[in-house]
Amino acid sequence: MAFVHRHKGLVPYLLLLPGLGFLALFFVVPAYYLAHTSLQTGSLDAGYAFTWAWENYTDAISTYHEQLTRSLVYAGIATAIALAVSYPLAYWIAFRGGRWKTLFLLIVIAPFFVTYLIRTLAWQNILSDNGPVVEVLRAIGVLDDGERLLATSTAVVAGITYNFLPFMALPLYASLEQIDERLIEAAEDLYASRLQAFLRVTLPLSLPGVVAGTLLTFIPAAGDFVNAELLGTPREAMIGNVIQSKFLVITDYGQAAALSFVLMAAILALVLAYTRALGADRLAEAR
Amino acid sequence: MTLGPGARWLLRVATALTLTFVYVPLVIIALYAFNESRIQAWPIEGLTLEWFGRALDNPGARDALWLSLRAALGATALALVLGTLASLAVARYRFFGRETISFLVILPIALPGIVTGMALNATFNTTGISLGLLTIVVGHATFCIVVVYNNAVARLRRTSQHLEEASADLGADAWQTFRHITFPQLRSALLAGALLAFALSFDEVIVTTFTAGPDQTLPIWILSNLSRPNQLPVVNVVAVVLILLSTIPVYVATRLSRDTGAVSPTAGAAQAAGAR
Repeated sequence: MAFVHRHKGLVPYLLLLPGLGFLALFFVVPAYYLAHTSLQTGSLDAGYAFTWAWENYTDAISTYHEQLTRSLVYAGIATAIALAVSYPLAYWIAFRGGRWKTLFLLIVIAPFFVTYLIRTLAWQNILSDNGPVVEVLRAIGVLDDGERLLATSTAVVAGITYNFLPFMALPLYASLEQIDERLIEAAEDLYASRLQAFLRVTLPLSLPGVVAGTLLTFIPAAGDFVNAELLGTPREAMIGNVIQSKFLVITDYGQAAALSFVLMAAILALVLAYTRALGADRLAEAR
Repeated sequence: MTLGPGARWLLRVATALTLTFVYVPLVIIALYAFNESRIQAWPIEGLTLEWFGRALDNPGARDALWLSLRAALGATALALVLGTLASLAVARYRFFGRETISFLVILPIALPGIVTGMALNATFNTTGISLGLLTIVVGHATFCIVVVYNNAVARLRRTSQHLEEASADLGADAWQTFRHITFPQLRSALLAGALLAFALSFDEVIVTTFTAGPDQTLPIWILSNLSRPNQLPVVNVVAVVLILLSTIPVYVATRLSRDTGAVSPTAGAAQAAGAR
């Protein structure tokens, strides 16, 4: 750009200043305060004091490892289902949508402009004991009379899958749509079967979308508390529910903050293992 | 590309099933809004418009809607300015630390909302900032900036710098070049980013529970009223109104894609999401 030459190195920093200043103030500083809080002890009445309370971390892990594991498992299952459901959909729109591509994409993402809570509420209605799904499943004998769908882990995972679906579908679509179809034709010209062409050309080329979609679905899903609250019971409580009630209801700030760092560390470890398994170079492409 | 008839058929069925999965919940909630009975049992007993009147008279819902709109507008505006500036720096300049910076901008969306929310809450509490509209806007802006930034960067990378250079060669100053050359190219990408940012902000529950204090945005109002069976029909009505309102951004996005042709905002949004 023109002003590059005139002002040399200063312009990009000036352009970045407001945005980075904002993020430093409201993202980096808060991260510091959260770390500080995680080593505090005390209560609302007695006051809080910074005591290098590392036991917040050990207590958090030993008391809530069950909810933590559950969150990661639920988020993992929901991510896998979302991937399985979104891939054919994104594939169909990208390759068979023709001139209606944009319209189809809109049809897929339109419901997701509707508030997330409303969508969860809809699932609450659908899966409720008097709701349509339970009625049908009972009629055809899949569910016994006493069995429920709401307030089970199935309901929570279904809700998470549904709510985070666009975060999977959009990146998948974006990466599938960019594939040069001539590459696939070339594979077929070279006598690859359709399955081989898919496995060796289409799938690898869409991996950046798979990685991006997986991360975008898994990370918020692991920290979610709305689905477990509305569709589950305390038996299905996720780590988000624990953190939320510790912080806002019980006001045990230290342990809530410690738990959130444990959650971050767990997510980070899983994400690193996952991207390592798929190849770090592909992650770079996905960004 | 060729697909076997079997595969093509399977793909069609899978697509149809997914779309059903996506839409059925909304249809059901819309039906319940007209349900005569307070109890949400299936099948619906009778139809009524009573709950729409009740919802209109509900001051809590109205206040919450108003607060949500202001918060979303504020966060979107903030994100537009900050995100666009940052995108210009990253896409149009080479400078020390560029990679680190694009990573830092993306980071907020890569953390679970509960962590961002709690960290902000701890900060506001310690520094004595009282929670309200301003803190909600700040919380939402942290992740809205990324959305605008990604859309703008994607567009800037696809458009040529030569036009900007030509403009400068013809004697335009930096501001004139931005106003007459860069901005028109960016406009639809920014609008797509703004739509997405607005939707994300309007929708946000998790960060908001930590930054709203006693105020209630619409999602928080819904969450707190879900546990009251008496209020459920009103919540359903609010849901229907929101479903109808949500067609506006979708309509705008469709119009936009018609105006801009090949580079559609939905694809832009998809890319932005992908780049996240």
